[in-house]
Amino acid sequence: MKKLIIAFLLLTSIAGAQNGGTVESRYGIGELDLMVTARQRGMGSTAAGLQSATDINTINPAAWSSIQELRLQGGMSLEYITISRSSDVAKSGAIKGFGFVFPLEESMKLRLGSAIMPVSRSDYATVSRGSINDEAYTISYEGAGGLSLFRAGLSAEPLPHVKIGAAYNYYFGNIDQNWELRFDNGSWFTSRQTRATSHNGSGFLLGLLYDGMKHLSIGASLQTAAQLNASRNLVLEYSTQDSTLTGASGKQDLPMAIDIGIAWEMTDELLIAADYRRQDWTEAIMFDGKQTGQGEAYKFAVGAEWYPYKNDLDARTLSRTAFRLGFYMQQPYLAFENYKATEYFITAGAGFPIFGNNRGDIALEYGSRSSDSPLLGTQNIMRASFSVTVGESWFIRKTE
Amino acid sequence: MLSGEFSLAGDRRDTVFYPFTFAGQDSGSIVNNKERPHVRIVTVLAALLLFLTACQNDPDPTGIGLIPDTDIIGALDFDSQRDSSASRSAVYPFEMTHGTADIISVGEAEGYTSRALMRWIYFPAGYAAGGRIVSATIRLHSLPYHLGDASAPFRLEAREITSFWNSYTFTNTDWADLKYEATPAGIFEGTFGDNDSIDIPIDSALVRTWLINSSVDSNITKNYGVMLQAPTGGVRSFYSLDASSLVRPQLTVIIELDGVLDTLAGESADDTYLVTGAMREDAQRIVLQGGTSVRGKLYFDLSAIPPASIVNFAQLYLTKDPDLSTANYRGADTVLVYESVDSTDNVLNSSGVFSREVESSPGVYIADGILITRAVQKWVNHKDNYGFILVAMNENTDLDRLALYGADAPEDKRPRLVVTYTTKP
Repeated sequence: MKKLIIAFLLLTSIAGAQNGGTVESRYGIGELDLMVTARQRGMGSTAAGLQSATDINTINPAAWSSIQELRLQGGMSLEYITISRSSDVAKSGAIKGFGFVFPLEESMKLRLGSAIMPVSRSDYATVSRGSINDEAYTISYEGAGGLSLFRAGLSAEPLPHVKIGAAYNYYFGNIDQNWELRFDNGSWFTSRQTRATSHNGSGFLLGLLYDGMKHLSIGASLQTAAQLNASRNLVLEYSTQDSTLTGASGKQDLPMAIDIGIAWEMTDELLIAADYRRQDWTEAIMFDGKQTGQGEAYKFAVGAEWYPYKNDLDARTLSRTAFRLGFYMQQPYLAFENYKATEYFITAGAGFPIFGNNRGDIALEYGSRSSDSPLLGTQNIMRASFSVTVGESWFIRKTE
Repeated sequence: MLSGEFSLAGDRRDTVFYPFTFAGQDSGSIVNNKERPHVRIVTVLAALLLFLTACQNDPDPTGIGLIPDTDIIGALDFDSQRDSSASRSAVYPFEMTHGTADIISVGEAEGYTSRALMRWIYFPAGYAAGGRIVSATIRLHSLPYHLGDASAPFRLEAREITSFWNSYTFTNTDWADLKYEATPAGIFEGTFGDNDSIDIPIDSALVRTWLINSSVDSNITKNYGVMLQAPTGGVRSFYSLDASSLVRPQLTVIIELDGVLDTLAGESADDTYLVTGAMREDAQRIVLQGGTSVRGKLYFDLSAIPPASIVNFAQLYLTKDPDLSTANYRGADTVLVYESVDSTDNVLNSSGVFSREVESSPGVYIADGILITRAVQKWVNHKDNYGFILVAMNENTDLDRLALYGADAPEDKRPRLVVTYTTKP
């Protein structure tokens, strides 16, 4: 099992080195990550009202109290985007974080949780051509980086069916914008400039989950607003093999985000969930001022999880295999020239045991992002997500 | 915490404990070794994802319209001629040594006077005080380079030098301290061709002194040699002691010892030459002179280029004035361009750039490349702008003149600097 974990982490680290987003991620803090697990993605990215003994809820920390043993979880995703205005495609792979939940005490279901996760991604590459005095050149505009967070918190069930959770988020990350001007003749000096903005700051994630009604659980989470410190440097590289560095400081707002969700165990085998998320970027300060083109972001999601062989004791593996389906509609926070984009996705997924209490989850998403802006066009997006959750029972006494 | 033996979850039915309570609870964490196929599934899936994520994307022009105008960059150019930027030029004398020159020039013509110093320090042992010097001759091999009429009779005089000199440090300012005999120790008079040789007979008494000094360690440095000068017949050029062994100056002494004639050759030789003459300061010109020498300075005002811009390429154009230029020697049609790193002493950056003639514009030289680009980059970054220093090709050996149009010449002929640079976002 340990070899599997190591191999998984190595593979995800390689996948994380690739690029392949779109130019929209140049704005704000980049393209926001859904920050949900593969199980949740398969269910239309619903999360706030979901509980699980094996899947670590990354949206509502109150759900950690449902976990019965040490859980380690990691995930990755692959994305494939086709753009209506171009024949090229954008491909990328990325680590979707790593986290664990550790049971501390059972009477109040006290749990300790921690995670490192991506928050946003700025990842694009585009080119233009030019010439001067009959010398042609190519200009590349590239972006890389994004924000991540480190999270640590607690959850508990102080009252029957009432779970609460709170976590501290430390945000960090660099977002680089790179320019390169290269002459076709190959002998003239290539210009390289980099604008690197580093961020750091703190916030909190609060969660509440109530499952006192029969077969129904209601959850809500609040990600508090945060104001990150931002430090920006512009580095110019010269033929004299030195460089110039100019710097500035500013602030980066992360607005408050609210998630509300409900999960209904319709039958012993079928779970239905729905979610709503909202985050208003309209007044957010981006380094030196409000950036035009930011608005309100929201998401509506519905999903289902089905264990068709749950009660079939003869099918040990199949009884623990789940199938998932979902749908979500999302408006990203970036709007160009007052044109807002809208995303529609259908999702499907499966979860299966690996061995013991360890599980793997796969999710597939297909959707489109469209805008009325002639600059944006329509993007068709396919995503595959994969996560592994491993259960470890610590402090075990050997049986005689 | 509990005492006793502990282990992690394994292939057994185990009991799990929490760190803050002794309450036991059946975790049901049973490992089923027969469920390995799922490991293979995970591995295959992970490998598949790895394969799919191994693809790189090529940058695409799609989306360039989303880059804000303030972040769009491009290449611009600065042209000192088009933009009428200020520039300055001047010439200055450069005191140089010629100890490493492979050509020496001797004679007087066109306002220049060239004299050579030459010496042989060692001679074969055993001949110091004995024998009879039958003859002593300095042979010089001529080159086709000259000033004045090469067919005119040439009188070359060799005078004994009586004070110390060093070919690597001797400059025109040292002439006043140089001591030599008024009476020549040897004279050549006659005509000779371009690739010819001449023999200068040397007074045997002088040669005897050299032989004796050579045999005494403390006197070796007193073999100061001879000064060669030619008051008539123009300036003629000869191979120096730094040339090929076949054509370098030779001192040959024929000595009779005990009835046997021996031929001795001077060894450990050293020579140099120096040219004096008035520096030309023609209006609207930068006149570079080899031999004496005269160098040029050229400065451009680059304040029109935004500070800290990235310079991609820089090109310097210089226009030759063929009427004032000469080709008495090799007449090389190239200029060495250096960055000046000091305004007071005109110190050169160690590496220079050879100019080349623009094919489409004969008489126009261009100097470019990474060294010119770096120099301009430094000036754009507001590091000390002392301009360029221009040096004639073969400055060390050729008494040629290369005249270039200066900063105060007509606009279409004055030096021109073209700089291509990138704007900042």
